[in-house]
Amino acid sequence: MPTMRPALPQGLLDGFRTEPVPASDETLVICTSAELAPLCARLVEAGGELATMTGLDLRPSDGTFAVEFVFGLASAARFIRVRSPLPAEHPAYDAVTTLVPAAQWYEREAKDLLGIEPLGHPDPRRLVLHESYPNAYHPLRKDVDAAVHPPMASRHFDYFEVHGEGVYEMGVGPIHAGVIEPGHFRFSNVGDLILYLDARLFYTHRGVEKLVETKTFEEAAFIVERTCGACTVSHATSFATAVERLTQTSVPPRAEWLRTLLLELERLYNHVGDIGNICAGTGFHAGTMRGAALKEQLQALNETLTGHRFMMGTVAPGGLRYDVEGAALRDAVTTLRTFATQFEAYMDLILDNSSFVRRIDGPGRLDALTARALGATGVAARASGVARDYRVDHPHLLYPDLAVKQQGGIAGDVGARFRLRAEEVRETLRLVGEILAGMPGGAISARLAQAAPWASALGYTESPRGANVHWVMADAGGQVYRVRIRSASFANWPVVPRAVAGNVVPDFPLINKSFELCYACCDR
Amino acid sequence: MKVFEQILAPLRRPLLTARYPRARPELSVRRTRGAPVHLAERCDQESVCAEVCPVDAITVDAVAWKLDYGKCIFCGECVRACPNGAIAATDEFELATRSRSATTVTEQLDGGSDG
Repeated sequence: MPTMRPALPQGLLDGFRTEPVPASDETLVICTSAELAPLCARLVEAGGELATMTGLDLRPSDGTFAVEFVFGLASAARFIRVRSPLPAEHPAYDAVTTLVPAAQWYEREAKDLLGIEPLGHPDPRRLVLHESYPNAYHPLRKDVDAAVHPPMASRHFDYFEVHGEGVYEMGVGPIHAGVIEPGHFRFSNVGDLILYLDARLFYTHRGVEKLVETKTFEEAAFIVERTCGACTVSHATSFATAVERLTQTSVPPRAEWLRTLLLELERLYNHVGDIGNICAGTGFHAGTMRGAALKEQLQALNETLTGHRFMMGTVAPGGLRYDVEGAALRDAVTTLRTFATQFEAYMDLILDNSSFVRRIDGPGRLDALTARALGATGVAARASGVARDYRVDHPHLLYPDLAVKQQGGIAGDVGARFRLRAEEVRETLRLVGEILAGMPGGAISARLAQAAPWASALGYTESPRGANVHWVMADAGGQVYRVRIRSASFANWPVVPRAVAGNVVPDFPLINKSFELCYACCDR
Repeated sequence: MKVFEQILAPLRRPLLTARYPRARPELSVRRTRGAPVHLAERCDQESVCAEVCPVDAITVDAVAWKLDYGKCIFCGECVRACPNGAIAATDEFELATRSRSATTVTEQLDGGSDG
């Protein structure tokens, strides 16, 4: 961690009251609901990126509801948290989305789950809770018992419609032909050309955030890391970090090294699998199968190191639950050396195939302006020329010492996302090599300190899909009061329909696979 | 030329297919966290395992120790918590059953020890 943190831009928060928070790189600003949207817009102008937003039912604490928008300010390596208290009888505020488009899904979610109304929101439709749920049902409110199922009814949902001569609608999903997650895609087409796509997700909403409330941090960690299978280590580490910052617990160095190692190994197996899946999007099966075989080697390595192919049950608040054996770490060096050679041969196999290359260059273009405005993160943002990487922007774990090379692209199409992943695989292999060479010994976990009542903090990691940001608040007794899991997929899903419009229908699976977003950790 | 190399490469690879389930393949991985198993002779029925289980898969009473593998998330908390080492970590992964009720294993305990 650098000792000197760059200053905030002059006068950015002048005239606003701040409240102390346990983490040193967070500033909590309190404002009125009228000041909220203009202040958020000012933070975006100053280079802020919407990191997460959460609605809060604080009635048991101070009798109010609240919304909190969190902006990451890379130039100052800091997070600005803007909280606005709202009256308990009718919690409503002027929608931030009108000035900060990236807020669109967050505000719709808070409306569904907490009944907090964003006035003047351009798209007030249901998002997380489908229309079959009753109107006044807001499960994240503290007086709602999630074990009691509300009465469900079949109601109409308004998809966006495109009218004109020759325009037809095509519905795909939520049940798909492959073994993949559920989502409904409503296309408006003319011939093969897609004019507009309305994507409807949250079929796998399980109420993870409600489920962890009132649990201890240790119990909650088991549930939170199962938010999704593909980014397990990232979710577990984001949550554990938030809890450690909240309780001001410092983690032993070996745990920090091992966490960084596991995060990079997670990126490695995901990127290789995603490269294989992009091949599947063009019907290039040799590429798909070779990718699956390479991914399998990496998952076997995960199991050798942690006892679990997805590395579950390893990272926990305070450090790690299991140490990684020295012999396994030595095996990893050999395995990864072989892998690096095979990976280059694999890339040759794919990029030698001109019919594949011609399919990936061009389709699914996401421009930088849209990516930035809608809050894209990870590969989706970087391939479009938006330099966002939490490993670089917000120093944490070992990343400042490893000097991660920021990778990027410009074209923003399928090919750019494909090649960026290949570049990131190479950089990750370098990082893993350095980590394995310098791994210190010592303890792997520290005892969690007691959380101060109502304290809150952020935890964040750069997952294979982008930043996973966890917002955690303790209750009066030091247990979980609220967890908001902002997965990279939640941030990226709104840009997918934008990248799809203007392409032909047969390219949709390819474009979708080039983002390779997760439904489970978007829906929670 | 690369195409021919790609075609020939699999021919040089050894046979990887195993005659599973007739012959159980040797696991290449040493520390798989598989099914936890109960060692009745070491159990003192203090229910520490049931208390730490994050998914309440374990129940202990005077006559029996029960573990529902249908609920178990294989985290190994019970193995770590038992002061007597009465639960062992194994790499057992063949846990499929023909009914939901068969996922629960029941170990009879000698409840009324006369000591």
